[in-house]
Amino acid sequence: MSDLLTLAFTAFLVQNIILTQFLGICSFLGVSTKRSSAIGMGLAVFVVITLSSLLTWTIYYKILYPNLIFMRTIVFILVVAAMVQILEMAIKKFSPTLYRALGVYLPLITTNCAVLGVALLSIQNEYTFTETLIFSAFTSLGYTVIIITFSYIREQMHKAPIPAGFKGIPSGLIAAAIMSLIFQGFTGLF
Amino acid sequence: MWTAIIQIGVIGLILGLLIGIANIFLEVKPDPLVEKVYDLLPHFNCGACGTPGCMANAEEIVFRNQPLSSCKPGTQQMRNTIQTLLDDYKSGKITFDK
Repeated sequence: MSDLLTLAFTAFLVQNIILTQFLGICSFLGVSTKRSSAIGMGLAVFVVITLSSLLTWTIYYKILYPNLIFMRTIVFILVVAAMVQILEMAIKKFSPTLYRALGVYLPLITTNCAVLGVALLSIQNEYTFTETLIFSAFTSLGYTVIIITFSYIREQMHKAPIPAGFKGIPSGLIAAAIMSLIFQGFTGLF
Repeated sequence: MWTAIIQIGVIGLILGLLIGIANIFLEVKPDPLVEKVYDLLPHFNCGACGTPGCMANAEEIVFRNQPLSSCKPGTQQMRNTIQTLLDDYKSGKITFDK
């Protein structure tokens, strides 16, 4: 039990997917300009990472293991792409406003390295099914929390008198770097 | 090698079927006017209008009064045709069944 708790906190804070492992930076910078779209993107990535990690774990250990493990990358990409496709249809049906706000970043979850990264890491670290569930859920929760926090910061930075050359992405990258430095302080917590 | 090919084929087939089933339940009927406008646009998906693709621009034109001149590769003739279509729809000359 305490092992699972440690795993959850490690995935959530110490090994935060964006600020410590630097995965999924593209959508992190692209969608965090507005709070509403950041919340939508965070939830979409949360759903995709958690479900696809469980699905890929099952496929890896029930079908590919032990003879076809070299197939894992291509099979995982296939599974993630299909998941995103279904999620995209669901969002289009139930929330057209969110669908427009996310725009091109929604189908781009397919190629988001965070999704494939979590699926491959849980295989690489030889997690059990429960551990994979905890690991993927808290890793993606880390993504969601960071992208929402960052959208608040960027909305405030929008009002600040920043020199024209630093507006938008450059000041966002500087803020992300400072946040990342803070997160390095969690190293060795567990 | 054959087992690998068959397995990835079967996995792809199952996922494809899942998407097909999801499409039946989650289908969104596009607005007929948007479809008509989309048919008249050049289908280049160049993005010069500022929206991702011609379908998105058709929605902008119909619902949010995007000016027709936003479509850079379109000809003046195309703009006139779309404008006539929109005017006819607004004045109730033509209607679409939903």
